[in-house]
Amino acid sequence: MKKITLAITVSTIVFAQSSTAATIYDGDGLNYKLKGDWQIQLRDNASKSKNLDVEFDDLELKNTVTYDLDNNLQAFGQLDFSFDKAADNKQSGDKLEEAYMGLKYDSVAFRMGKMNTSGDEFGVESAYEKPAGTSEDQFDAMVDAGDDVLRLDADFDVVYISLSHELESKGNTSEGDASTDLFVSTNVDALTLAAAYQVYDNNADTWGVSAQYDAGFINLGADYSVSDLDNSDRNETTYNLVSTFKASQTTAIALGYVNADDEIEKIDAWYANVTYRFPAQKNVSLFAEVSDSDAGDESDILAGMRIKF
Amino acid sequence: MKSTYKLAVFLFIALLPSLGYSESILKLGEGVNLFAINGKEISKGNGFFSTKNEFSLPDSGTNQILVSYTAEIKNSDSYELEDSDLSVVKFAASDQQITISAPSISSTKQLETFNAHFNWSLKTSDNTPVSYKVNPLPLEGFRLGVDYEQKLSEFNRTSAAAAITPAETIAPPVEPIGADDTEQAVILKMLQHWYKLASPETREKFKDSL
Repeated sequence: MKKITLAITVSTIVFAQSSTAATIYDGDGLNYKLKGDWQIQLRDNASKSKNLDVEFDDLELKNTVTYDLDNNLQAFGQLDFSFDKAADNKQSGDKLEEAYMGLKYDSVAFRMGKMNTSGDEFGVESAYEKPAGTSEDQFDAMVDAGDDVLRLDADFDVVYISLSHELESKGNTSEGDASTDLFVSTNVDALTLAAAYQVYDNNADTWGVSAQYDAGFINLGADYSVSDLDNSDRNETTYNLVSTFKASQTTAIALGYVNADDEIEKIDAWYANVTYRFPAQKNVSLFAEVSDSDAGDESDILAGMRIKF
Repeated sequence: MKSTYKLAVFLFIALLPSLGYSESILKLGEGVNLFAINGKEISKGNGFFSTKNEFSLPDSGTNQILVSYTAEIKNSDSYELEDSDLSVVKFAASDQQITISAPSISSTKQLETFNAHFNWSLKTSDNTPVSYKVNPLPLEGFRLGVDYEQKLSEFNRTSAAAAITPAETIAPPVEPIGADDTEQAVILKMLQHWYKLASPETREKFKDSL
């Protein structure tokens, strides 16, 4: 899953004409949407031992169903199939990336199943591919998804709160370390502030803060996250600096710097990417990216196409 | 007969300001999708790299457009494209450039609020707000292959605030009346004019009455 939230924020540029409607059926209280996120890249990554390759990322098909239960109550569910690993011939079939159901009342939603944890909301990194040896942030470095997740989201306009807990599920096939995440964000005019905290049993306690500022012609973002590792006196730290801006009505550019420090090794990395969106269809984009990291043998270069609907 | 002919010419000229035709421009803001103007679906044909976000409107009268907004909704560490409900917007234009835009929407809640209020912004080139009426376009069932012209025709037969009657729309340009036109030539031009203004249902009724 790639994090390009900030880049997209500024790449919402002038688009005309109609885009592909994802809604397949809407009637009698039932809404069924088919969503897709397909991305294919031609990539020469930072490892000298790996040659140019066609890589698949986010080859996803999402089925989203919502039932209106009246009195502001809705039932919803989503099945998200990902085919990127299958396309890379690493496995024989598809992968279930998300599978959850829940209830939503007014601005509060509760869901249960396989999904991203609340800490996954954190971060400003805007690279298509993480520079070698780095994570998007410390929540990405620890855990940001699970099979046995209970999650509560509340959007109160000014404040957004998300709380999740992944069960240990001891004795079951999905057994793993439990984690509890809290994410809070707020908007003050063009400034978005966020904070997150995670307790990941037997691994680490992680916290992070971030800020994004939309100056209109340019977006600036920064985040800082730290993991206090269990059974160790070391901390792992990641911070990001990002700026994104429009080069034209259809083209957006992102420049980013990542620093990762685990008190054994310190990695500096940077990336730059450009995204062109076809004016006739907001859903189709071409992109290219170059990144360089202390942990790589050489620069990571890629170019690709994305269709999102 | 001669006086009837003169009266017809007088009425024709008096009733049809479109003879002195000019146009207004509708400009689409970021993420705004235009489906139809005055009941007619617009062509989706575009150049490969072109950015068409300006459309001609008939001048000096009521215009009706069918629009939606594509929002980028933050979803975990990625985003999803979500379309707003379709809304029918009615406004008056008079040889102006009018830009329609939507408020900033980045969350599902904001999109739900927009679908409830359709708080579009319509402004002229000098930033003067343009008043408008808006209603959702009722759609039920499968959304693939929707005939928007048919749906708008049905919508315009309701008493919705954004509904228009054929008489509210501007007549398409008609051939000017020449000094040498015969009475029948003038009548023909008038028939053509009113036929172009008529709804499909009215045209059928007219044909049946012959």
